[in-house]
Amino acid sequence: METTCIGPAPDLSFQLAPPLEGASELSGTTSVLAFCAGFSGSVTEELRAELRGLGAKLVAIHPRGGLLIAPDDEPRPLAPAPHLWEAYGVRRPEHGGPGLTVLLVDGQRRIRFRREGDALAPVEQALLKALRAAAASTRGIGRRELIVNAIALALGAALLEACATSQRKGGDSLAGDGSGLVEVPLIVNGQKRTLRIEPRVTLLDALRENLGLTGTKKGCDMGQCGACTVLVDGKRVDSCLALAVQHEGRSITTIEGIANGEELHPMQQAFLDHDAFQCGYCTPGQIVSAVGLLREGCPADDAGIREGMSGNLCRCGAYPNIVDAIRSAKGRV
Amino acid sequence: MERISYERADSVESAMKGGSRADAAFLAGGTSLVDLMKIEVLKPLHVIDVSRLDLRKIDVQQNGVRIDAMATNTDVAEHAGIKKRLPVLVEAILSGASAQLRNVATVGGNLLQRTRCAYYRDLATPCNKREPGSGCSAIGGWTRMHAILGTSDACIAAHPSDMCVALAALEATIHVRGPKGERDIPFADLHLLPADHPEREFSLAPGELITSVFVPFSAHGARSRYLKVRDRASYAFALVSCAAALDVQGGEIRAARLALGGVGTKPWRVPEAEQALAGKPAQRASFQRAAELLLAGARTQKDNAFKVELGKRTVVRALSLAAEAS
Amino acid sequence: MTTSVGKPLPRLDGKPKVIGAARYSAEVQVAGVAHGVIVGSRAPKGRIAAIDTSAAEREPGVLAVLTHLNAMKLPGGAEPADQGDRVVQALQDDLIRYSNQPVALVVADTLERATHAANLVKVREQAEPHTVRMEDEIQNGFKQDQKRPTGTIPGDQVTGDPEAARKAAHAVVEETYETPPETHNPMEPHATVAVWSGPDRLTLYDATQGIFGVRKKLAKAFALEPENVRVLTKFVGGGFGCKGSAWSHVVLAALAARKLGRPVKVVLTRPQMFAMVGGRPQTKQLVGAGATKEGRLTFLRHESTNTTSRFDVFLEPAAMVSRHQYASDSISTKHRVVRIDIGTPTYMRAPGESSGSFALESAIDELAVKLGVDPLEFRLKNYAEHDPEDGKPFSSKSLKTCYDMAAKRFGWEKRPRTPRSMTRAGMLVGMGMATSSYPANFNPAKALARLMPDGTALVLSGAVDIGTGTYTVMTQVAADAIGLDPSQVRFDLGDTEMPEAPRSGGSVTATSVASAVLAAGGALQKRLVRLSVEDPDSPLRGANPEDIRVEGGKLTANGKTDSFAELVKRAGGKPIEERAEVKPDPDRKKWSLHSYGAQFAEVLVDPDLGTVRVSRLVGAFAAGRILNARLARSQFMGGMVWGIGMALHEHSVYDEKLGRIVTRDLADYHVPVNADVPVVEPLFLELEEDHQVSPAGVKGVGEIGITGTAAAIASAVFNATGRRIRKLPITPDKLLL
Repeated sequence: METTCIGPAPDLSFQLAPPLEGASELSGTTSVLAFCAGFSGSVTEELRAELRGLGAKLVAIHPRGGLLIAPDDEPRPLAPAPHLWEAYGVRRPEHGGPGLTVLLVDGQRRIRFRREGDALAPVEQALLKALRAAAASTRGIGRRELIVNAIALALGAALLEACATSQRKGGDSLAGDGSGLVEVPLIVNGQKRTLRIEPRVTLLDALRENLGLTGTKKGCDMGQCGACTVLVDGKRVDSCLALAVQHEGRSITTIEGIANGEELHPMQQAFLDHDAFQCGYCTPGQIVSAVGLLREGCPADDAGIREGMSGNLCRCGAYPNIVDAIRSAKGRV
Repeated sequence: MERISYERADSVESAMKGGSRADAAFLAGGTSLVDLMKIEVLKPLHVIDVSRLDLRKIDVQQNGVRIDAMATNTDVAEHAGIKKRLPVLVEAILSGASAQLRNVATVGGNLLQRTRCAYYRDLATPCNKREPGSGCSAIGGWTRMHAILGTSDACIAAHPSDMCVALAALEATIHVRGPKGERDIPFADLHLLPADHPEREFSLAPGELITSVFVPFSAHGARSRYLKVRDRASYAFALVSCAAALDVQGGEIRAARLALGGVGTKPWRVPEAEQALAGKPAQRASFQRAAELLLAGARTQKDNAFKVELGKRTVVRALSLAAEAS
Repeated sequence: MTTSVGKPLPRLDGKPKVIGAARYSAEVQVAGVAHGVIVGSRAPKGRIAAIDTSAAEREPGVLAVLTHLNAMKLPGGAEPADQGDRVVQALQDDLIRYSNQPVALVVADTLERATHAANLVKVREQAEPHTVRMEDEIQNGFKQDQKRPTGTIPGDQVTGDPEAARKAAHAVVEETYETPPETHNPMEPHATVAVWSGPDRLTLYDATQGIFGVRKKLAKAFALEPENVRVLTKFVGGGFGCKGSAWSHVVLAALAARKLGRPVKVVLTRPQMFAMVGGRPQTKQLVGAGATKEGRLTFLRHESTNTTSRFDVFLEPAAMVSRHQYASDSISTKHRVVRIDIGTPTYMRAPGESSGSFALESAIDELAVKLGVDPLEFRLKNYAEHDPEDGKPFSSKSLKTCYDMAAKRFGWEKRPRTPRSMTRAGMLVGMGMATSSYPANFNPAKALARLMPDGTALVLSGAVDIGTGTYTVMTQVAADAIGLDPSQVRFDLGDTEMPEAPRSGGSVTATSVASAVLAAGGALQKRLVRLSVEDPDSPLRGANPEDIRVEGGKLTANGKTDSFAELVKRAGGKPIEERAEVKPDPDRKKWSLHSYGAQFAEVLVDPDLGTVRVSRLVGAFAAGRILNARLARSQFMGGMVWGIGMALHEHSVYDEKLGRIVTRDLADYHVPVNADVPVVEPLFLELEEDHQVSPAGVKGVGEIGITGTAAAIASAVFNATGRRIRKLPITPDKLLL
């Protein structure tokens, strides 16, 4: 399945645009070069996730300049570089060239793949689909070489069918045979979400791994710390000891659903006001648990708050401030 | 966790049908079962979700209260009638676990809760309960949290439930439905002593589903307390706990029921200890005598010998508190 | 001039944390990541005789099973990269050195599949005799010095004539105090995501306190240029020392990712955090103290022994505290280390100071009681005006103020004069106190300050915020140094592409990084002033730099104003940047540098059942300049809460026969819950002047809260019951009379 090497990459030096200075030399790392008519510059978290997964940087080059995107950096604007189009032999879109030309360059500066095509969707979307397809098809492949090949093939495939969709994780097995998966419709933070997962997936892992809701934390995974606290039909529970499949039709509220849009929930504000956290890892569980506690009835005094919140460990020792926060939120919740 | 198949029972009949499979388990709240399945101590391959069966009522009757098996710990602890007439049950439940766990744990599941023995829970350490015949790592190991009553040479794991201690003292009856029909199990008969077969923990037949618990009302039940002694203020298993129920008239004990937690391989009752209180003054000396009898025959290990003395003092304190209650 | 430093600015990383948007290492979005689950050994010592991975490999979704038979040999080896690094077990040989040592790594496409497959790996072990008991190896204890980034401190030390001083004592206390093995248990389990982006480029998203240490280790192990290893850590769910070095799982994640050609995430289970990522070692400490009839210390002897692994040495420097805490005619201290078959211990909040202060402060309390002198008065009688070890002056020491503040607030005069003489609602009441202290460490650090075209500043340093508030306090320091409002400053951290900062440990971050930020910010301001006065187009051209006031992004002198934004525009619109590097001033060696404090505890003990509850905790601290009172208060408080756990709850129990930790989850290893923690009052001086300790005058507040607390509680238990417990934790069984 070796893709032949098309040739050496002629130029991997990209001039940064003002106010930045200098050039960025991409070598020793996988790079995706995308020559296109335009690139909005909005770099979504999804695109960053794909780039992280591939260990790749993306250089989007368009007639007025370009963008250098590394997954964990701010995108850096590039100066217009007409010479690059020439160097790579790409005809510009305004001169009748293709809407999108993608090249893949490996860590040894070799071009492994080249495809041209009309981008039927916005370039960012086409790229995202291409990268996702590449990731999906690289599962189970052992050799570094084959990754590059697979990216190449996948990019090509994705570009040719720009509307291709691929379902993320959710237990889609490698072989795609769906063995042992069940449909689990959940209502999470007011939204209907249907997962296709194995029955053994806990509610906690379904939230974190399958729905990308990482606000709920895994502290012990055995119901001993409360970091995974969510509300199920308004009651606080440890999601690590709950099977997702048991919660069909139940309304689940996570920390991401506690606020009222942009407006913080009074409990969240109280935690901020009283510095009721330090490292923050137990904090989502504390807040959700506190909301649940006050729904169960107003604790009469601080001792009641302490006892009622003892199912949420805080190793940073912020307990006194947590109690202050909850006390101040009594009556406001 | 092993790969499992899952079904949701829509009736007790269908639950029992699936439950007869040797590799099946009933799943209610999951706070014990899912925990143990995740660490592969228990490995059913098929779970039957019974949590949505219409078995969640708490029915106060003339002589007692019938609590359906799927009622959660919180449901029971918040019930006004139970608070009034069976306070030990509420206190016991509230002293256990955390609110999050109590909101989900069911009465039926709590009855069938497994031990917290660290060796049972660690696949790397031999355990006769988990793998019959493989040996008991606790004996000769770290035994601070282990039992001193009802033990055998095969197993010294303590029973972990607080609710069960209260139900034992209240002489509850457990109602089950199985392929062969319905029956009642007196509370004391539900949990088995480890003896030579610690893997046999319950007197339930395959496919039998607990559907409800009946807790009789009584004068002593109305004057009952639960005392739990533990290493930290909350969210911890008992070093020793005691459910004490006293019917006291004019300073004299008419009837008493006592059960111990944290020290037995099952909730521990000794009828002799209760009989020794009948007719006696509700005072420390009587309580101490009962405590002696309740802890009699204790077999201790290196790390849990202190539970004998602590146990006696806990009993005395619990009885004092029950005597003060009005 | 309005300053930001000192103001109680709320945490700038607060909002992401309360809305669940803060991403910790296991949560960074990395597409295509595979899940790695570690298989740990059973036996504590021996060899892997055989390992059968066939069943695991057959499981659907399993991508690879790494063992010592197929794992790549690390070109640079698994040995430590520097003094702060630990020996790890990365499948490089068949040796088993401790129970629950990594012996395989299973990688699958979902977490459930990897977890289940890990249980299918069959390891046949050839076990050898082992011991996890200090007593079994105590005769092989050896001397160990304390290695610090800034130099080595000898393990043994003597001042004066111990024999003569002992003879001169009227009352003597000579006791053994013991602290058990403990485990850090931050709420966030260790997690690493490893991504290779070329044959020689590695990116790690790692839950660590020190990104540069991780970079160094991985670069060495894989023989890479350090610049080609990037470590990113924006949020850490607690560290307390166990994330201060890269452990086995970090290397394993990188190995698996390299083999598979795809990112691999390894997250430890809670039980796995009890062996392979360190803990506080067990200590056995002999403390001897003697005083005259009037209560003046004549001799102090403190000998500490701690355990370590067979393959790596970690010293818990418990006796160090006795070298400077009190004035005494003679002070002698020793440190010994004993090798047993356990995983290597590591720094755990106030390593040495917390364990050592328990012993020392308990002994002092015993001596005071023996003499019939009030424990606070006794400490005042033996107050050290200069460092008793070498006569050095203290750079600052406001301990008397701390004693006074805390004693007043606590109501120390109400302390029962004799044990068992005070009850409340049937509980015995007791009160105790102790001295707190922590060395003011300073490690080299770098920072950069960059003025952006819009007039705001970006300040960078590769530190890590483990809940300590680094994001916030550095913003404040930078704002003041540059002359901006904090809302106009963005401080970022947690990336090895940034200037190098020390690991977040030893309470050094506030001291060291703040000094670097101060320097970089100051240099930037200086340059801006210079640009303003030298530019012919500037409103302030020709002005005297001394006359210029810089505040809120504006420069003013003689009624004229220039602004940062204008300045940058005139300079061509490009960012203006200054870098700084700070190192500890060699002059520091002339001083004894510590933070000090006082802790007061009240306990309620059930006279029959032996349960102990802390009902009140008051501490007063002096730690130089406090950068942010709100956040410092939380750090002090957190340390004090740790003291409750240390005194009453924490103990990693080893099964001696199996050589394995049996308290391996949060139900068996107790840390304080909310109900254990009463009103905790940390008082502190907001400004203790100290110009020697660091350019910013900062000393560090992360660890002092736990020092002395356990002793204060133990002394309170004595005051309540008449029973002196010298072996932690103080559990009910120890108080049953």
